[in-house]
Amino acid sequence: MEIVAFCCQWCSYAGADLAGTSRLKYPANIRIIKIPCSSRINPTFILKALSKGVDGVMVAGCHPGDCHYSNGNYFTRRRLTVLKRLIEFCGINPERLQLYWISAAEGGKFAESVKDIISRLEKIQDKPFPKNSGSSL
Amino acid sequence: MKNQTYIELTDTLKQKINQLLNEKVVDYVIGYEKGSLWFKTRPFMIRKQTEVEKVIWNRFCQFNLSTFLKPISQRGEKIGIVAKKCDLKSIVELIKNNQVKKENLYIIQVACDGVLNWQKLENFSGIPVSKVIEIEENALNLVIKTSESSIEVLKSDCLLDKCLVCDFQHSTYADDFISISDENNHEIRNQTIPYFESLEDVDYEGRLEFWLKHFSRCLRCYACRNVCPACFCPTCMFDSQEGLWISKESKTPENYVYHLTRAFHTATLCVECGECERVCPVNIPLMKLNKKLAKEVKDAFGYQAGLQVDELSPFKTFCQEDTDEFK
Amino acid sequence: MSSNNPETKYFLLKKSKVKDLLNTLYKEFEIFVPVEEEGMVNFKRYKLNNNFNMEFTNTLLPPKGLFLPQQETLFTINYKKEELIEENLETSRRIIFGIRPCDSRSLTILDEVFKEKSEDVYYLQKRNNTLLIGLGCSNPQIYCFCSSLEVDPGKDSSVDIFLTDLGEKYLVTANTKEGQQLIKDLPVYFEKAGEEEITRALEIQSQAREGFSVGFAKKDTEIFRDVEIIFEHPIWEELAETCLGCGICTYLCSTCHCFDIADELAKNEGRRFRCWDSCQFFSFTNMTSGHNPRPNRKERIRQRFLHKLSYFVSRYGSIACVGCGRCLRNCPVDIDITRVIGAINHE
Repeated sequence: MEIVAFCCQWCSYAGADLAGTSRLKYPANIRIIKIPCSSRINPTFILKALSKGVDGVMVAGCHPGDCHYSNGNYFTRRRLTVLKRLIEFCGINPERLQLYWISAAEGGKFAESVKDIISRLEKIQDKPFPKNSGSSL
Repeated sequence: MKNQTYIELTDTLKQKINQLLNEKVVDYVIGYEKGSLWFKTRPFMIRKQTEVEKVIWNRFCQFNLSTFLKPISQRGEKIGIVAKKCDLKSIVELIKNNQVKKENLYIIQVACDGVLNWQKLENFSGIPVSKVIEIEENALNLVIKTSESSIEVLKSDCLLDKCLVCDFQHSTYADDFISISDENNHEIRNQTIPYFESLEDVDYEGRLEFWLKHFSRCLRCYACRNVCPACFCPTCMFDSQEGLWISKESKTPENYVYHLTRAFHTATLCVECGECERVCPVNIPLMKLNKKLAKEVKDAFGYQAGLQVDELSPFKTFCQEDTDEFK
Repeated sequence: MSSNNPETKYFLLKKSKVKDLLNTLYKEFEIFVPVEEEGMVNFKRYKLNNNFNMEFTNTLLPPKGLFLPQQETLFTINYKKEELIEENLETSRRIIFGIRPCDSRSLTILDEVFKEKSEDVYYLQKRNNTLLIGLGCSNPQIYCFCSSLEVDPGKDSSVDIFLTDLGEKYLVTANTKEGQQLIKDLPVYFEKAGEEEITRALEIQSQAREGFSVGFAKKDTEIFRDVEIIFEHPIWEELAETCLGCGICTYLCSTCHCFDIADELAKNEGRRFRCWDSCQFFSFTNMTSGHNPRPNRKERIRQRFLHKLSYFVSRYGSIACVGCGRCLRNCPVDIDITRVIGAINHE
């Protein structure tokens, strides 16, 4: 199982760091990409990852109200709500896209979130996007 | 094709454009002229009064001219624009998003009784457009005449989909409303057309198969993007020279990313004018995506694009109390 | 058998037998036939007993894609093994069944380009391996203007085998040795044509030359010979005002052949491919430095018309347009090459 995680550099990425330094265990299926803010997410990032056959995409940002840029994550929340409906309509199980709020102090929550998305994806019956059908780009 | 109402409307429209150019209210007017074939019209920038004679208004003026208000095709002049009710929604979105200033615009709304689609005309009458000599209109039907026969088809069958749900009312944002009478035959309106509902009964794999089948045909000609009045980015991310977001190859998964991104980026801006689907040379049902997104935006934020100039688009604002389905 | 006499050029093929014929040819050839799907007719690979549609006016996409695919891999590389794997160019023998005269003419035009100086093996391999079975037009569509470009919609001698629709059957004309051989090998499907049928076919062929709605006079294209005059003509500005800059006209054109070559690299492997490109796109001429010699739609739309009507003529001696009418039918803003030629000459 392959999961791409987009983590905001102020909270969630630091949370992932903390999970590491605290030696917390979480599944190794995850590839983290650091982004400045969860609202930096362009739907293309998520769609691109899914179209290349990853099993799930996890977006992680600061808790609502705690955004480093005051309110970026509120926008993320609105956009992903709609994007989730769109991918569902276009044949991708919406469970494959998850959004978590993880602060820099929540190493434990980061590990839990990874476990959570894995357990959700394990329950899914339908196949992800066919692998390697796209370009190598 | 003869229709007295449209002939009268054309005359009034010509007078109006003449007056606007004469009084230098505008630098040019975007309107329609006759196309190469009888069922086609072409966008036309009227700069000189001598050109006004070429202006037409008929049942085939389907192009949404507001796409020429995108800053990319503008030169800071004062523009007059001929608009149908549906096109006005696009103009409202462009004003709302600071792509064009209202004070630089003179909007001439012309009464429209629905736009005919020549492909539907061919399909429903079974007569190729090359054989048609004359079309006459009565209250509900079109009488299509060839040299040998004449066939009646229901008008509503040959109208664009969007016309079936249009109320054809006067928009408050128009500077001028050209009409003969206030009455329209409303009996053919307010139909509901299923766009995406049928797909919602299908499972995920079936839906993916459906979309991949359609996207596999995509040529990546970008007509859907270029014709769209809501696609007003100075440089589209798919044209960006800094990073290739999708491959130059027209491979199906890449097309999937392109089309979903295009639809998502225009969500909250899309007024469902249907131009993307109309211009698509390979008939990809793009309106299914747009309609679905419009519905989701309406359900989630109670917002409809193209109605009010001073409304804030839901993706440009937020509410702390927004429902958080991601807990 | 008399029908096997190599001097006989005219045969008859019953429409009811076409499917059997295709099923027989299927064993030896890869066959492309016009198939209607989602309301569009296009050349699709024939599979045993597949349905096909011979009552089409023309395919939506030109057959150029069968020789110059929208994308094709040239080679792949493997970094780990440090090896370069060239694409296998071998193709099975192919038949295009039902190609229209305008489209077959477009292939002769493309041949000039891909044969000039260095031969393009990717194109020529496919071209040399393909037998063309043409189908005459009895009913040109409203956007056709092939007659303005000296394409005969009723008769085509550049294809290997040419079919003229006689209602119940086709009159079959073998133009090349390969075509004659194919007919000779399958005598059960072809019978000798009588005088009467040949006369009727000739009538149908000449009828096809009438009834065009759009077009231009040949002498009107002469003005394009002088690039100096035409280059700064005000019409390009006028067209650019409404042109959307999409790629419909170039991608659907049966003679547009510009392509881009690009490399794509992944972790341990990479590949080089070529894919269609369009002169209507900004990126087509954009250079690494950021300079773009064709920065606006005016220059780009001028390029398309002048390439077809001027540059190509001085290089290869013919106009790079066959009058298939695809651009005219599909252009969202109704930019029409016949009108442009007319307007430059008469306005």
